[in-house]
Amino acid sequence: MALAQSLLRFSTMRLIQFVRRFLALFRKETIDRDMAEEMRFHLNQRTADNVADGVPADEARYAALRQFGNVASIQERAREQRGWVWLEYFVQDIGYGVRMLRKNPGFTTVAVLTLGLGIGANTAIFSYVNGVMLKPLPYANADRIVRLTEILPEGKGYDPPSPLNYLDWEKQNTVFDRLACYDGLRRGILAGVGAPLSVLVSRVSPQYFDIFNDGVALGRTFAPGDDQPGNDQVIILTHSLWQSQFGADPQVIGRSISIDSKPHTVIGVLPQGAWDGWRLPNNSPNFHVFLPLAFTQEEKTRDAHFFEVDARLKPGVSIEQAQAQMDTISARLAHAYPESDKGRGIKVEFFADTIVAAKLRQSLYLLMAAAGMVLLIACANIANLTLARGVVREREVAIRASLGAGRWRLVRQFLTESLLLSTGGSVFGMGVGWISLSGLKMIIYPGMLPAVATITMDGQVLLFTLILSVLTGVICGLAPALQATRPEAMASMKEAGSGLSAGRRRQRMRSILASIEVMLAFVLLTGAGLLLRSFFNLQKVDMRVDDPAKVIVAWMPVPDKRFSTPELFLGYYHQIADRLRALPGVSDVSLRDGSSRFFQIADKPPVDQANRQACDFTMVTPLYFRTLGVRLIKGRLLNDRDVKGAPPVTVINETMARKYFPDQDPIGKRILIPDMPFGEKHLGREIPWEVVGVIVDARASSPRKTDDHLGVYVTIEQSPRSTNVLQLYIRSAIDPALLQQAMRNAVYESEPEQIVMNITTMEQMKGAFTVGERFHLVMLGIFASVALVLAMIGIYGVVSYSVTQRTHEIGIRAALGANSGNIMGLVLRSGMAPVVLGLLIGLAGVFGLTRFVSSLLFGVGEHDPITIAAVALILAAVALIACFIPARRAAKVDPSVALRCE
Amino acid sequence: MLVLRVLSRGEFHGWGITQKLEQLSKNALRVEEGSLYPALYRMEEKGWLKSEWKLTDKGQRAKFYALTRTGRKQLEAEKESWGRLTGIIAQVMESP
Repeated sequence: MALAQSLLRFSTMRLIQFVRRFLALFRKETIDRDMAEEMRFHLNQRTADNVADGVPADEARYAALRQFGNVASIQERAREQRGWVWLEYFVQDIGYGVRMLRKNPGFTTVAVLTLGLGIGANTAIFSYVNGVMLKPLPYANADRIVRLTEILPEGKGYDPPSPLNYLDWEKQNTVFDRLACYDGLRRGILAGVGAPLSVLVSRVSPQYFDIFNDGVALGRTFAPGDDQPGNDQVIILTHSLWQSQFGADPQVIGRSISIDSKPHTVIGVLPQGAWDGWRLPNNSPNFHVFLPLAFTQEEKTRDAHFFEVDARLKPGVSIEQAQAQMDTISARLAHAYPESDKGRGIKVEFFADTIVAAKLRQSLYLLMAAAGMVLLIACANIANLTLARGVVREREVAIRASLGAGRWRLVRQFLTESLLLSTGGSVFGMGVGWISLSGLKMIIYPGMLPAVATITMDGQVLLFTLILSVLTGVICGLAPALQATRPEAMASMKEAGSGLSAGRRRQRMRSILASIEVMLAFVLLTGAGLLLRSFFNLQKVDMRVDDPAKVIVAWMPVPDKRFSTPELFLGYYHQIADRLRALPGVSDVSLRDGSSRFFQIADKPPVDQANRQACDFTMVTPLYFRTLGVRLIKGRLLNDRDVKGAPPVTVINETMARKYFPDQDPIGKRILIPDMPFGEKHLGREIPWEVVGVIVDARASSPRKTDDHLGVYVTIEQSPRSTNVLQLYIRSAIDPALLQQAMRNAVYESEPEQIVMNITTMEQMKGAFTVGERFHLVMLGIFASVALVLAMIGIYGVVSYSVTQRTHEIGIRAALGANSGNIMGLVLRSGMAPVVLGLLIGLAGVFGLTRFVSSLLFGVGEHDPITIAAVALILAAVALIACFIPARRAAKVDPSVALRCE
Repeated sequence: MLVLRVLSRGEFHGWGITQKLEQLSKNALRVEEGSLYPALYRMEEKGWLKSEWKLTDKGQRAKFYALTRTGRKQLEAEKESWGRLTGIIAQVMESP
């Protein structure tokens, strides 16, 4: 009770104090008058006292004043005891600052523009960082959703889980309340509404939608039991598919449609937005349907790894606990099934971490760092300009100091001015940020960002900009503020003006700032230079394919298990290929299918399953090599006689030959690779493939792939497997663009239900692979050029200012006989000194920082001496030009004029 | 603390406080005006003092300061801690 009372009293007191402080803001005049009167009274008393002691009246007054001290300063200090005086000062400072800035429109404009560019760049990049990495995922319980992946033996990488392993995890774990798998994206043909339509088909476990808490717009999601063979003829549609193909008909539930000629009953429609995010590069929506994942007999295997497993942690279970339990389970499985699971582990990671690719994260960090450097350079420039203005304001500072302003009070005044500048800059910067965000959205490839990311300038971005603006104000204002309010400056009333030593100190600080600018610009330009070189290297990459612009690549999806025998399967494709070959302008047509398989070399000690290497097992029609124009090095190519029943033969690439048959002739050697029988997903027995030829390393898939690509080519006839999609390669004798429609028509005439997707040329594919590189290059290029220009302005400012300051000295030198060459040399030397210093420190920075871009580089070392030297030369040349203009002005100084000034 | 002590004897204006302090300390202590006024304003801000404009004996307007209840408590607390401090120092100085 007593406590409550005292609390109440305390808070009442606080309230009264608050009200008084608040009111005091408006009674300022009265309070100040009171204070003055109070002190006048004191002085009068003291004077009277002195008179009483027998001092003459005038003397008595002076003595009293002397004893009292600086009245203004005491009043100021007394005033500061009041609570909210800072607010009052702040308003005063702002008013004063605005007046100062208005009086210097040139300086203000330059500063606001410079800072705006820097802040704008940071705002735009931060919008991406925020949207991609900081915002929580739009799922309920996003912090409990994890993804499970298998770890390959010896930590060589990751592998999707196999079906039987997944079922064991489901049975043995106690840490997840939901566990589900998703078998990826497959192309399927939806029929039963209008024309047949190519859709994405995914099979998921019944609990899958529960994990992400998607809910439904209509009907229901899958229920337990839907995944049992026989019950699995049900289907769920995405919202966009339902709207565009079914006219948003609520009667769709219960309707029968067919996927790949198999009937399914619609049981649900997902809510708007859920799973509609997958977009093709041309931004057209991808319609998506979901089937329950019922493992077929041939899918019950530990050899095939093809789906993603996501789970939701039970409330209160940490990811470490889940990882520990999965470690136990994987050890148990490895023991029970050494053939397939020996050496394998399980990785549990947060789902949120998996959807932002490491590469994207890295490039965002890189761009954020680059934008930060640009802003720092901008700050250094503004600090430099402010320092120059400090001279002009030396008098002002001295007067204010002698009138009773404390140093802290003056520093605050200067900081308020630079904060005003940075606030102006950030308002402008938000405009710049908004424009660059829109610009970035145009050049960024949609596939580079996770589908769930939304990139906007929201409250968090604005908060970031605000904080940035305050930081910027302090960074570019603090040094000049301290410099201008040095005790000597404040006492400089008596000096005639520019004290030489003070000028020199200021000059030194400006040189340091110029060095910092050069250093930062050096690091940025080197990064951009390295990216430029690796981009050219990528462009130059020889795909080892003859005239890739003439090779058309397309995908032909096929219904799963539509063909019961390999003969029917191959017959179907040969018929389409024959039709295409008959088109005018087509010179060669071939088909390709590929998978990754483990292998070992025959007639060598057997290799443990867990330690085998995987090769790129490529199944082609014999004309594949001619279509691509790949050169044969040794032996023969595959031909039409390499069919079923004939001895199994293979052609390998150079890398495969070099790594596995070093210093020997690979021709005639055999490679053991397990076969996947047609219509099955189990790996079967090993087939000994006899090497008959060696070809050059063709980089048909990606220009980045270098020496680790182990190519093994066989004919489709000798190893047909049922696949979802075959690649079509066509060599065109005419412009490939002219062939596209003819190709579609020919396929349609032959097989009306067959779709041809993603028609492109190999040259264009190469371009698509370098999209990310181009993006980095453009962005870093922009940042580096801005940095270069800013640094140039900075150096020019320093040198030009020092020339103005040294006019007198230069005049004396000229009068004593120095010729214009001597004087130019003098100015250039002193101007280039901070540049050289900046370059030296920058060199250390380059060695320290470029390792962060090393993984983005291609064919160029992170410390590439040519790039570093070229960048240093460019910077030095630019700096020299910046110094040259003021140096020439110095050389033209007329001694008689120079000596007369002052 | 000294100012509080002076004011515990009644209301005084700033000039009066300096006079009283000198008188109480028999001219040994002289408080600087430069410190006195900021201190007065600070203590008023903290709620230890209250002030009022009044006429002096000679009919001049002056600002008189007086202790509040909190100010009185503060004085007690400071007296006590001063007593403790001098006690401790005396103990140390006089220990053999």
